[in-house]
Amino acid sequence: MSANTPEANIAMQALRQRMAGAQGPRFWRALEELADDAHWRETLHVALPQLVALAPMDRRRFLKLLGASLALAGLAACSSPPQEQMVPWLRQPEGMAADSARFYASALACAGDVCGVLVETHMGRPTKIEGNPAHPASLGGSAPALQAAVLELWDPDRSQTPLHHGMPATWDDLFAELARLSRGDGRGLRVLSGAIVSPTLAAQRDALLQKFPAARWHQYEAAGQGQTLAGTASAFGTPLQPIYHFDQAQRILALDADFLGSMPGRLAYARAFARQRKPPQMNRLYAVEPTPSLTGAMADHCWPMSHDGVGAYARQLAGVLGVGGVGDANVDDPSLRAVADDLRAHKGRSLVLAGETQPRPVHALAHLLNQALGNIGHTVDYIAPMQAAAPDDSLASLCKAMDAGDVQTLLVLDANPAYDAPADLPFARALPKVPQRIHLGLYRDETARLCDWHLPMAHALESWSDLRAWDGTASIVQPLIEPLYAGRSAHQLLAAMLGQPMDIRALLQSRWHAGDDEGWSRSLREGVIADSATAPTNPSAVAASVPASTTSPSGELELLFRPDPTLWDGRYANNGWLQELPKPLSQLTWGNAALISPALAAERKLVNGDVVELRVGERHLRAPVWIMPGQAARSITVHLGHGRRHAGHVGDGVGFDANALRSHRAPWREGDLQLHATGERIELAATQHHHAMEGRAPVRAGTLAEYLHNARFLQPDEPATPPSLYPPKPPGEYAWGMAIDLNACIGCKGCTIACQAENNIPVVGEDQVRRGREMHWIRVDRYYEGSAQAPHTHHQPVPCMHCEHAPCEVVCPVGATVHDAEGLNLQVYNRCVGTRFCSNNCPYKVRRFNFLQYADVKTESLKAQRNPDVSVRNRGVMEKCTYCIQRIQTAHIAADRDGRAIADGEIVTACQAACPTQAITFGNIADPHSAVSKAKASPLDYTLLAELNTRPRTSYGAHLRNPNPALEDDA
Amino acid sequence: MSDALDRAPLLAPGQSLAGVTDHVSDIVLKRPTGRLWLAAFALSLALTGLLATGIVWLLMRGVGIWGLDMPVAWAFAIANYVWWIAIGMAGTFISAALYLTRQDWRSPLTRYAETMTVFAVSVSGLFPILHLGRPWFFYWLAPYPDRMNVWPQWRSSLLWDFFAIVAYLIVSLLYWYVSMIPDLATLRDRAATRGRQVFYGLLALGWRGEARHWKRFETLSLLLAALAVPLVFSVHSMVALDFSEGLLPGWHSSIFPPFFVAGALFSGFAMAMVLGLPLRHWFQLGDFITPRHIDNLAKMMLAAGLFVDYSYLMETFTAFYGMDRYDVAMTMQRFSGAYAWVFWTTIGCNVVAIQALWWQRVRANRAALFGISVLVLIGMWFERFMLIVSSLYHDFLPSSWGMFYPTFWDIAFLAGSIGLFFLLFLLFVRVLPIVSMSDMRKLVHRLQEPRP
Amino acid sequence: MGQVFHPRFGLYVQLVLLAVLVSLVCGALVWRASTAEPHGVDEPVEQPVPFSHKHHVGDDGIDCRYCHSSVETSAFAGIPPLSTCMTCHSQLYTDTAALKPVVDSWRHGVALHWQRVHQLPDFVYFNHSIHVAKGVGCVTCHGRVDRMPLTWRARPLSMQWCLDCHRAPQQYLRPRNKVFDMAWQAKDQAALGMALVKRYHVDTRRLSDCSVCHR
Repeated sequence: MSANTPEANIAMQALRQRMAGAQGPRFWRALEELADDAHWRETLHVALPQLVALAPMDRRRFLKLLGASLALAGLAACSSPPQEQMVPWLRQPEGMAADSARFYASALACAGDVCGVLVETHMGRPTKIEGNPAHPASLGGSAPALQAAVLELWDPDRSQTPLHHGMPATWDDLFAELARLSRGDGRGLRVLSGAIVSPTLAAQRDALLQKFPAARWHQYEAAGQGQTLAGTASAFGTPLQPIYHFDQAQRILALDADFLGSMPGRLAYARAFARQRKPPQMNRLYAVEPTPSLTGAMADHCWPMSHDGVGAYARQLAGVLGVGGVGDANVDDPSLRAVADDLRAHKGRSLVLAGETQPRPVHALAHLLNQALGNIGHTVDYIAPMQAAAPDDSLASLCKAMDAGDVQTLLVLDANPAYDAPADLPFARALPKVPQRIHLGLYRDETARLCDWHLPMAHALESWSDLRAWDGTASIVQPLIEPLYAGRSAHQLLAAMLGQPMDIRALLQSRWHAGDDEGWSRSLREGVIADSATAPTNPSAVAASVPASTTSPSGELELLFRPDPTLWDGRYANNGWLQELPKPLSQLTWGNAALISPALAAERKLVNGDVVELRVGERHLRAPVWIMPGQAARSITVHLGHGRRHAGHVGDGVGFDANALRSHRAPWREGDLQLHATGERIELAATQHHHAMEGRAPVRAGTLAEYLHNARFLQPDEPATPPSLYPPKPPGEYAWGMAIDLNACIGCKGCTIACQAENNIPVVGEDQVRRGREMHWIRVDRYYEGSAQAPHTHHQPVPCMHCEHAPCEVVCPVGATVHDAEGLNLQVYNRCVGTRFCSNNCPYKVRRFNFLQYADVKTESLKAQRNPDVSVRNRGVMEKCTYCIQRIQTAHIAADRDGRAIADGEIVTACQAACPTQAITFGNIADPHSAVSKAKASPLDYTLLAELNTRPRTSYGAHLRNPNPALEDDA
Repeated sequence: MSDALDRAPLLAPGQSLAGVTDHVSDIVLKRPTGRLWLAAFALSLALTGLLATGIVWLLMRGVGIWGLDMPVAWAFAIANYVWWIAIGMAGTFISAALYLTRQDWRSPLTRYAETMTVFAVSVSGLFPILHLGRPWFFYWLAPYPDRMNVWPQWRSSLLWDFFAIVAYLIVSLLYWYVSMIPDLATLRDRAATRGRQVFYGLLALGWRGEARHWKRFETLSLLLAALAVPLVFSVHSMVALDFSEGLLPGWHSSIFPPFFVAGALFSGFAMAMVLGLPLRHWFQLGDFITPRHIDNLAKMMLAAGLFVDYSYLMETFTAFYGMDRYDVAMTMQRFSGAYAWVFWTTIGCNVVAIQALWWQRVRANRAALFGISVLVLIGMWFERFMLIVSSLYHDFLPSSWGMFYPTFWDIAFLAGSIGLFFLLFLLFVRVLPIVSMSDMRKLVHRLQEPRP
Repeated sequence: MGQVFHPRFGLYVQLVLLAVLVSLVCGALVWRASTAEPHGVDEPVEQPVPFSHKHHVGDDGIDCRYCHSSVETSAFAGIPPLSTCMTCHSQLYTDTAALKPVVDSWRHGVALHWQRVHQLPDFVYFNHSIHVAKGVGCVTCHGRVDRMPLTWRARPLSMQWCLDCHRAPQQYLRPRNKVFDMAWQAKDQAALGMALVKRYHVDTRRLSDCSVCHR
């Protein structure tokens, strides 16, 4: 940059004097005033070439431009298409195919988990992320946050240049300051980061602390693993990371443990869990939890109970099983006894696990139970954690130090405590007392605005690094594209402070494959560093008994905190895909709500959207309520990650900030909650408004027992397909079809967002979702059965059914939706005039209409993200699931070119690829040996609304539960 | 029923050939522009302006400015369309059908009824185009050879609807204009100023009242009438098929075509009444539009209304008789769902209100007739809305159920279309003869010669 | 009162109406023509460098694939990197005015901007490799480029034109080894075409499906 030439510095000095006193927004205003002043404009541009764009535009000129653009817009209608230009390479880079997609293996840390990924690039642009089948934490599946990382990369709101006191600066300026700092032993230097999952970063940290002995390194995660590790510590004397083997477990008891939704390794766990639920073989899952989770929704028996109730339940169970010297052996709760018996009957093949949100005694109990049941080494292993967990009060001690003025320099590495620190820690208040405050992050967020230095961080897809998955498996993170802006990674910043070379790639290779280029390239190619997983070290429990956990008086309300299912701790708040992705179970988008139980709603006469005041001690906030079937009666749940103040254009001010009620001592639960209705009401943007099946059985469900008695018990007596006058199947060589196994679907909505990423589906925004205009091509419906206190939950992904007799096709006047020879129901965007009759006539309502211009065709960086193989739909056009026709055609052309048949499994739809439990199968139903044909041959297979005789190509496998016969009464 | 009225004269005594012509032509040529007319004109102009603004905004932003959503992807625009085209029906029916059946009493009503038809159909024609996602491609519904080498999809009722509207618009326009030619010639000859002579002269197409002219005139009128009458039924059956073709509960029904035709005549007669009574009052047409005419109109309205009520009954009956889960659920939704108030409004207007017409005293009371007719018009609009929305908002899968809430622009387009209609009609009463002078003269002639 | 209209007035009116009608039709046609494509068929396109296919293909006999290297493997036929030009032109004609832009571009590392001649709408997904594999000759769509001093579009490239072949491929297919042959002519296209459709497994059932070109 030219802004560090001598004359620029002089100019900058002059500016600083001229600007003295101007702060914040006022500051920019002052700049514009300056820019008006001709003599200063000169200085300004010398000092800040970046600001040329800021030269003010007077009203007349603005109107002129506006008029011109309008006129052009008019002309565009009646002028010939623009002349395209072709710009050839000077030298064609090695192996850069003209247009075909290329995949690179890498790894991403997302939502408290680390996953291996394959990143799809077109002409060097990352456009899509798939799970890496070779990586143990992904196995090919991917979570919403993984899919959305590519949108984060192209987010126009990312900070683009270093800022010093809010003014554009350069990295060199910063390094100059750091150089000054590097003299001395680092007294007063503090570093704050999130949990460190990169071995290299950990090494750099150690090196830094060695170089600056007096310096301190703090860590803070709003949703970390503290309780889990502390729990193992109190059970085994040393903190250990439990690794569960659901493929071995026949009986599972989840104590408020959401191993399908939020636990590290969740994708691998989901895969193994679903594998065990293929009738006639099915495991059995018991869940006790205060607030509904994906795990509870999959459970064969789920009992809502308060936060402390879960602990009490664990103690009673331990008592009955004679473990840990707690409780007494004679409990007269039949259901609990039944569970105990069931677990006891499956020694070594059962599993008890406690969730991060439970206090350490409950964790300890779970581990003791596993030991008593002989599960350790079979269904659960323990490994040494990658690094000792930072003490809970790591951030607290930092705040104290800052308050006391002991901190001279604070370096915040990709953390945002000004937003996500608990309310009882005065971080934001104490920060200004630090003379030198440096923030490195993707966005100019709340913390960045309180620091005098903000440094743009290179995105994970732009930089070199390494990551360890939950089981210790290490992967290399490789850049897929040159940094879009002046961003650098935390590694580079630390390297600069340590005087290390800036070449992180070399650093990584020397760490993992010193001098072994072959191994290095293999690790890069496969995305996994061979046998780097940590070996299990299964200790025996040292704790004979566990401390009694506090039990609060029943009847009082309690407040539970949970990381947001899509936004996690708020770091993804500016990601439109994740904001608009309906939250599992609640189906809410764009914002959070206080989840309350139906009982409490009835007692307080509250309905969805009523704004209440939540008060804990003197802390309080206002939040809309959402009635949640399956919520414990007196428990209220709020999700973190919302109410961001400086997230960006997308995330600012969406929802409320639950951290305002949080304290760092008890991060997951606050007792003694006061709740008052305020009389206000706001309309929350939910995508599903009716939750009962109305006897129409869109989801066919039964129990394993019924299935074993008669496998076809869910098939109707009359023939499945009524007669028809229309011709049978289309003539094509292939017949594409899909089977969705509702028994495997855990409702994580990974398919929805994978589809959005693959098919250039636009984000429509909160208001449009409220109007019922969301555009997702595959939605995941959720139905409740049974009582509202403890309902059975059913998930149902609904893409286009590709009906053999499609009702949409007969009503389109222009033939914009037609059948092709291979049975696909096509939507031809460029022929569609938008009568919307097709949508009216679609009994599955899977069609989506561009009521307005939803696709953003202005923002350049978003254009770069799009999939070039899929048309971008404009206003006034109908669209819907195409079975990823671009993937079908690509495979078709490849096969036809070589004159061979398309192999089974050669075509994988985006939703199918993303599904962690492989619930979706796609392929050629004309081939009886294809996977999809086999799935459709199952006695549980059925089609939606078969009585309408639309003959869908998409069919479902019925949902089975495996309740405990001893508990049939409440099954 | 009253025999008195049936034998009452179709024309007030003492009306001469010249008298008729004077009275009617003076309304256009001599009568000064009234203050009331100006007020009404200003109001309609304002509403039309609103419509124009709405159209510009619609073309800029897209149909999203309306309250449409998934699942309710059709609402106001289609309701307005069906409502207006239905209103058009009655005009053609009165003039053409009664002409073919030699009903003398139709003469004074034909002209403004036909005018009503032409304007209503024109207004209704706006909506199918505007409600498209990409209105500028509406011509893709027409079969024409182009570089894409693709043709319309002939199984879709929307396509046939497109043809039906166009055909109906053309025929009714011709019929309206042709029947007006002799009167235009009269106005030309009576016009005082050069400007008016040229204006009417151009429109009169050089009519000189020769026997040759009259012969061709009669033949053409007969042919057009014969063409128009089937159209009345075909067009609205076509509109009905737009819904019957769908498989939605409440749409997928074979009763619709006759049901829609009856509904069309029903609302059409109501509109004829709403327009006729004020005209009669302001332009002293009492001598031509006699109590007997009004009574006949009212009776026809009642008859059509009863047929419509019968269809309501049958719809409900078939739902429960067929015991199709979705039909029953939809019917119950109509009775007690979120849009129940729409249904009961419809019943109140189209079933309850019209029963008053059984009484001759009501039929003789202009205010009551006017009120009932307005109610019927409202009721018929609500019926269309109910038909469209109550089937869409709760269809097959409970997960996709959703509400429809109209936006400001939904209302604006409805009000604007009404404004446009009255704007055109007000212009008509100022520049064209509101009663067919040629027909009236024939009537006078026929009444004065002794019946054989 | 006197005569309002001249006796021949009726004729004038009819003439005026006719004129209105004619002008409307013409207007429509002109509009369609002006908004069709940036370049007309058979209209040479101005380029930064007067590149002559006639010279390179016709006279020098360079194979299409020498420059359009990815035509057999990917959707995009490929437009040669400057380095390809330089394999010859680092020695040949280096100092001619016509080649100056090429030499400069090479020297200063600034890419050339060619005007695109064969341009399809964004919603059309054309794939060269499959057409070559199924025996569609270059000439069939691009005409005799070996006779084009400046390149122009030889065919309309309209959907109708595409469909002509997709509906009856047998009329256009040629043996694979003749695909890049500019001068090849079939003796009996009817018989040959049918044979080739069979031999190359051209699935005519789906060839005119929308999904083949639109996604």
